[in-house]
Amino acid sequence: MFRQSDIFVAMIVGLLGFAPASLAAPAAPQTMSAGDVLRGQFVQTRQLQGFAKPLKSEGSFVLVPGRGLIWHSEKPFDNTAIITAGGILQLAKGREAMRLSASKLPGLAQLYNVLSAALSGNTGPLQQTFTVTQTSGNDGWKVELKPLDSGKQAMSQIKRLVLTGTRYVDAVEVERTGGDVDRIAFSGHKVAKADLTPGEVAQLKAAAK
Amino acid sequence: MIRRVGAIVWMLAVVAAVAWLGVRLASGVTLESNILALLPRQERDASVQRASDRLANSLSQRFGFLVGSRSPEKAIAAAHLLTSALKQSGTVTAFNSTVDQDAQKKMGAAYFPYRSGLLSQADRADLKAGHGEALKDRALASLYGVGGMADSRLMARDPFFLLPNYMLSLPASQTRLAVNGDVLTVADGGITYVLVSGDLAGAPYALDFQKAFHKIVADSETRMKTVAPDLTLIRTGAVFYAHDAANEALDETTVIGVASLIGTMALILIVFGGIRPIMLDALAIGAGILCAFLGTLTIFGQVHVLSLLFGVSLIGISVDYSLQYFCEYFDPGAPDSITRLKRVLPGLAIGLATTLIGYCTLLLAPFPGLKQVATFSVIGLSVSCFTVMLCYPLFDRHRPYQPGNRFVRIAATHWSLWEAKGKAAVGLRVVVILALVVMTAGGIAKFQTDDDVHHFQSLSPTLKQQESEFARLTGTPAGTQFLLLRAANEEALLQKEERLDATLTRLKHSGAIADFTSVAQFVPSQERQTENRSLVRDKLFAPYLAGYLADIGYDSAPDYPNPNSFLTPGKLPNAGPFALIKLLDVTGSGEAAHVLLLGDVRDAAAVKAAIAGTSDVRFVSLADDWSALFATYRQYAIGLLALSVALMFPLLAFRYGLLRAMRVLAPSLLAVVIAPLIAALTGVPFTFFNAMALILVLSVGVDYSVFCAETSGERKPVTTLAIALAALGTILAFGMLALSRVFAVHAFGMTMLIGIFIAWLFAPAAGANARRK
Repeated sequence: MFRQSDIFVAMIVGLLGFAPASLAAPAAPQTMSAGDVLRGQFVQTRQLQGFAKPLKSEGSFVLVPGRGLIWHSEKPFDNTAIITAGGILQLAKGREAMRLSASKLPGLAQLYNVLSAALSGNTGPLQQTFTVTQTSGNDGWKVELKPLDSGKQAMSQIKRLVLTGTRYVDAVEVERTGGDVDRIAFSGHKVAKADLTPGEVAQLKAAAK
Repeated sequence: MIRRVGAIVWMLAVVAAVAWLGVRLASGVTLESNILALLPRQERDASVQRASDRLANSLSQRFGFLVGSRSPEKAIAAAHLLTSALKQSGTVTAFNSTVDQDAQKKMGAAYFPYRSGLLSQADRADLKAGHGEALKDRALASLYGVGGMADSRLMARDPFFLLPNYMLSLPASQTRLAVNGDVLTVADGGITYVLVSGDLAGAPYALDFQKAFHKIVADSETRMKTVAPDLTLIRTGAVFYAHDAANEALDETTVIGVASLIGTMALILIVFGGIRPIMLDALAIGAGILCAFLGTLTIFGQVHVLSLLFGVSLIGISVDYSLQYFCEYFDPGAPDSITRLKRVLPGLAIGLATTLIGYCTLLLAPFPGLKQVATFSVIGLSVSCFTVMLCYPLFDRHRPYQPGNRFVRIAATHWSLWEAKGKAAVGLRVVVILALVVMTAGGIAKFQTDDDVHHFQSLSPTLKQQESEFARLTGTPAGTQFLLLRAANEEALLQKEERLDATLTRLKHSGAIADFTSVAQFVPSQERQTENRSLVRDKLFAPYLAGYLADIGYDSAPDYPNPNSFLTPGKLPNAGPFALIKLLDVTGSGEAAHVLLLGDVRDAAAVKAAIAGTSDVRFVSLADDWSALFATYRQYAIGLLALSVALMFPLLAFRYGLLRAMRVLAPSLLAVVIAPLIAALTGVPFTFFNAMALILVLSVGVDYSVFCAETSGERKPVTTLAIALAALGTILAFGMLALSRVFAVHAFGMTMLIGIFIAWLFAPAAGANARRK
């Protein structure tokens, strides 16, 4: 099933691709302003029960606050997921492979709001779902999220989320109740003003409709 | 002495009845306000009736709110406020607007054991076309995808993630709404709307329930405004229309009742100039209406507001009997109460008999509501008439008026209009008849019938506008159109639905329908499940599973069983969208039947044409069905009218002889023919309600002719005064109905108004030369 928690992970990974001021303080606060575009590389490693070796994928991502996330896996094969408040679109080899509208995804719009709020410095909604523990040291900061009892139902598959970083989020670790662990490492963060390619604009539009 | 005893016994009986009514009223009374309750429950085949009933009931139980505010948080807070107020009040059985995470789980659990036979349309098409590889690619994308759309537990039981895809392909009810936490929202024009919808715990047409529900909504609205000052509250549901209609009908009943009572009283006061006639009149009318109310309540257990509305207008008819009596005051030849009664008794008896014949034919109409109206009227009129006959002589001490009263003089001109031989009178007769001919001719040109149920019940434009706004925002047009499918058993039905799927999808693409929902979309037939299992086995697992597992390094064998049994509708829990299945299954009396819902039918002809080739499938449109029924019963009412004439005629012929009986009937028949045409001239189409009014025009109109036929010589002016007052009283009552905003009541009132006027105008012409046999 495409559970709410899965989408949540996708969102959190995407939207917290950089550190929101409120979460990352006091280490180098970095917020994005309207029109900013964050680009970077990722390496995702999934350790799933019953699999001989971890599933590893690599690629690049583009995050546009208020519009969505383009997650482009290049290895082991070409696959793009575009996540917006309106829905999710998946392209396999450039062709539409799957489309999910927000009306079919319980929680998508809400999560979008929770995370948007977190990005703009309001962690209130986030704290209704998770216990948030922040620590920081010389080598950066660390945020740990654990589902609250009240948020358990929506987050029943998530045991723990850990985000670490310096200026931006450098790594995300997701532990599931079933024993699966996902790790995503980010690198090469780059913030630019409105440099979306026409192709990217079209992809975001297509996913949101 | 016997007379006195009779009067006292009668009075005591009436007082006892009124006391009993008081007791009944104190314990609470159900007032029915659904106009469709007037409709008969026959003339249709049983499964259509069952399907319509179930659907109409369930639709009328539904309510929906959209709670809007510029601030999403405030809108959600306000919506929660409303939800909890409704929950606490116990007026709501279920909410379908709260996102039930549990329901998702229950759905998944019910499907899971049968997953090998469940494929989405797209996956089925891919496998049939030999594109199993596309499904493999999608599974890989899910595994490697962002955040891991799929996990190891699902992998072990459904390696190609076919079940999640099947579940995502299920029909979603609210297309424009997005899930937002535990609520459904839609943003439009800068305002976020939160849906609060569900099913009512009580009957939306029961007045008590409406009141309770309405009060909770009104209270919540006040509190919601403190949370969200810019609150927009859009509402939809039969309960709001019903409340509006009931309020309207009750207000109108009160206004019409009071106005016609005051008018009648004023009339009596002016003409008879004494307080005693008013008291006596109030006695006859009051006894009639209260006993009628009690009788109706006892027989039917509840009273329809329309019965009450028509019943109250009885004032206008029951006063006729008193008026006949009072007008004897003007006759110097009737100095005491006994003589007066003797003089009017034949007229009253025949008048009551013909009127009761009219109302009794209403009893024959298979309309529950009209049976009530008829019962109400028969009891009310009889009691009024008997009160006049039995009690008036007891209380009447009135002395006769001096001859030459000005009212009598004015009334006398009515008679001379039809009797006088002078040039002026003849000229006036010609002018009157010509005017009627011209209006009738104009009416014929504009005459049209109307049976559209929408026109009959259309009420509040504000509610209508809110309803369409609700439909636009949520993307859920409220449809009362569906296909009714029948077959020998459930499996055959599901197969039929699957065969129709392609046809309906084509209709959807061509825009003839917006959407459709069938049971088979939630539960494939066993035939389809078997086919799906082999498709998965032969076209997906056999060629791709081994390679796929090797690619991803999965070293255990997935558990994807083919169970011995199949998923059937009965195995699904009553959760989330599955609740719909219970509604769609209208199986009964040894025949399996399903409803296939059509959303927003824009081209009914295309739908009918598309299903023409499939056996045992019927296109049903509730509104059209109701309209067709109104058309049938409009014709039926005309039949009743003819029956009334046929029943009255022997009675009249017995008293007046054949030729004079025809003469006595003529003014009423003329009124019956001309009234609808003149009404057409004023823009009132001919509906079932006009036809029903004509039955009353006939029976009341015949009274006037009878009174005229029963009179002679000196007493003629007295009689014309009586019928003039009677007609004025009736018009005061029914003329008020013509002012009603309720279309049906308006049509009824207009027809009565015109018909009674014509019947009154021509009444002396009928009686002029009619001498008693």
